[in-house]
Amino acid sequence: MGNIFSSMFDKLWGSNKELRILILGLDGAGKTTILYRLQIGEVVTTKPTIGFNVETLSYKNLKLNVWDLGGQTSIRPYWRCYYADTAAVIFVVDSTDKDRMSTASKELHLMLQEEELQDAALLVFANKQDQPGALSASEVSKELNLVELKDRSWSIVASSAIKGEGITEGLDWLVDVIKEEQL
Amino acid sequence: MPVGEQDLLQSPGMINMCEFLQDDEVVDDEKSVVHVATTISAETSVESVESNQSKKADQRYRHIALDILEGTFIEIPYKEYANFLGSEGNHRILTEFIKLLDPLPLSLLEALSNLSNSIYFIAEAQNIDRTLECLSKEWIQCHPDTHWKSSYKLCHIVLFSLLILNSDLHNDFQIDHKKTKFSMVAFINNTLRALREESEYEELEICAGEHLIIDELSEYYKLLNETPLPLLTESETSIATSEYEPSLNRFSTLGSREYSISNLRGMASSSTTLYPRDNQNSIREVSAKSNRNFHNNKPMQTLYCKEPFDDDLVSDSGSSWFVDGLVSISKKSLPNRFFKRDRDQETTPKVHSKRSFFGWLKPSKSKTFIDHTSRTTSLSYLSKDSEWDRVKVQIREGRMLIFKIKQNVKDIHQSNGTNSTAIDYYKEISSSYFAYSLFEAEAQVVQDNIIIGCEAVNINKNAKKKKGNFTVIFPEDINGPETVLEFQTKDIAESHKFTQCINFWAGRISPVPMTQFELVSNEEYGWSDKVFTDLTCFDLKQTTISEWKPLLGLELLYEDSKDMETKLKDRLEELMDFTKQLGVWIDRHNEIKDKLVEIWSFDENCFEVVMNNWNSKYLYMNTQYKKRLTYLEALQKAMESVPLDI
Repeated sequence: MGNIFSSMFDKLWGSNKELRILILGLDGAGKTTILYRLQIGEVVTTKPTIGFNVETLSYKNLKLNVWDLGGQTSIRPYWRCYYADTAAVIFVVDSTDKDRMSTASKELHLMLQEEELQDAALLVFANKQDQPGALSASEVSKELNLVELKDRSWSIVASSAIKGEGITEGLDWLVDVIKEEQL
Repeated sequence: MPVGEQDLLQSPGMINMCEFLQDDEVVDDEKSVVHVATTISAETSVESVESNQSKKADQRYRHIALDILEGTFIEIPYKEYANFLGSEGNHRILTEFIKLLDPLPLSLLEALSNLSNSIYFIAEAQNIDRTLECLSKEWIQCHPDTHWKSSYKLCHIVLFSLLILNSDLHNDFQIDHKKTKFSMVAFINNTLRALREESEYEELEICAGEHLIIDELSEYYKLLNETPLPLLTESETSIATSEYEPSLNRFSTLGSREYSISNLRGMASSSTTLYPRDNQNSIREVSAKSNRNFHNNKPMQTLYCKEPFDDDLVSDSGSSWFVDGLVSISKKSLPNRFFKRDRDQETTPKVHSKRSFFGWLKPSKSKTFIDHTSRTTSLSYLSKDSEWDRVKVQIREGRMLIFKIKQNVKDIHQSNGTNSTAIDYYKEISSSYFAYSLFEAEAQVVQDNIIIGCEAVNINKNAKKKKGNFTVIFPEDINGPETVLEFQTKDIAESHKFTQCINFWAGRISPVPMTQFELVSNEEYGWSDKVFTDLTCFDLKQTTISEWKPLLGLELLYEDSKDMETKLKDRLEELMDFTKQLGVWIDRHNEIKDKLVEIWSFDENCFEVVMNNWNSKYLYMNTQYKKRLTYLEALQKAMESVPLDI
């Protein structure tokens, strides 16, 4: 009985619900900085695991397990079959890197085709807004062809990971949409 | 059967490599290395700076790679090493770094474990990816004949996959929520899917070996599920703590490793071939590390299972636990280079020996380290022309530390040599010093074996009467041939103290090679049951007779030698059992000799091969018997100083 109550409670309030979020994007987009900037909520201290940067944080009654899985790799990205159980993807773009915008777009769309990610929400950070010549969020949105994404909750937020701008806004949106869709 | 000493087979390979550090070896171009080091950062491409200087640059890359492995590369924060190596511009340093991990084990999981034991391995995904790519290329080079064939990309996928699995299984976050962890089936399916796609893309054929891949992956899953890949922390840089017994061996011993595996000669179970534990490297690693740590004042790894009584005894000078003395060493025992550079060394101020680390990396160099005195060489003791040098020798905790005293140092303080201040002092007054691990070493007082009468003792006219002499034999190992060091002490009693102490430690830390004798091979050496029962002369002639060798190769013998766990008392019992058993086996071997002569005398060639085999085995057993008996006696004697209640 207690279990039923507690799971109902969780469902209603999302208490302690644990979700896996992936941070993806090309080299140098600022993924890792974003990852550490995300720690606006209560950071759950965990024993570090070798390999990828993984952080766990509590935010608005959610426990987020954020993996920095990087972007373009030398092998074709087959490891993406590990996308199962992913609630959301945070895609980070270097807004100043106009030359590679199309590569980023290709990566993003390729990734989103993965079956395992069909239900995952997408948050794009148009990062490095602090630098001169950075494309605005809407320009990045165009470059990435985000409008083509159907049946998916997505949002793009202009950010400066260095300055910590835009991060909270992005995360707030993401948490809300996750709660709405998945809980 | 007369046994000439020259015929003796060497006891199975061990691991007594001596690493040699010399302070004067440092680095003509150290400044330039430092220059490079200071100009690089995790984000800076070294290649762009140094691309036009090939050889010198290579050396510098290697140097940086080595510093990273050592944890002494101060230009980059320790936790950024992996990111630095994986950065796009630092590919050549990465390559050098990965080469330092040679020989890579046959198991991909173990290879990954070795990597994660060599560096603080948390990094950005793309840097991880580049590192794994490099690792997979190196692995393919080490193991070209596996079912992965030459496709490093497939190995790369497996490595990446294993790393993700590790994060998934052992991420604290999910400990209470097993449903989110990958099951073995999911892991295998996911990885297979990736492999299939890649092989299609690469037009490779993996279907044939797919069952092998599945077996391999499920084995990896099980192992990884039990034990996470270790995360190296800064304090552990110099001390291996891995569950997987990683190989941090800096020596190119690939060939030897291959040898040891192939030397199982058909005995290997599928699990062995699939997942050979790398334990055999651990001991070598210990000795390899010991000198480096010794040189750098880092704590050296404990080589034995420390027990309560050890605390008091390890500093008990003159006991079986600890001997410290000023003795002479035969010049020919020591490395040639040692003396050639003697003068330079003594006038060169002490500098950190970075270059000497490079020396380790060059296989050819390691051979010049030692004047390979073999047992057949006449002893310096017997020759009046022998030259000797003053050295301070310390036997402690499984090691022999030798400090070659500078010529201009006349007075040497007597101090309790166990503490680090004393060691520092010894280093200071030495032109060079080195540490031997006593694994499988054997010491003997020369006068015990060679009795030349009172007059003959005076062959060396300068020598005082009744000087003691002892030798220490480090058996052949993959890093070099057998080495004999000859020492002279002020009297025979002191020689006995040294030998007792050396044999005690050697016996304590060397595993008993029971497995070697319990294994049975299907190869025909001339004395199988078949030979004795059913075969006719015709059949015998058709039989291929193999050359007898110890079944387990140099290193595999010590596969189960996780010997930090064997207590002194247990070791003593093991040695007792083993010598007893070996005695029985030797008798049995003796008994078949007459029959062999009878059976094989019809054919001269066969006869010769079979009898050679018989001799080889006999000598090998005898050598082992003698050595273990020496150990046993040393341990028994030492036990007398251990309080009875313990």
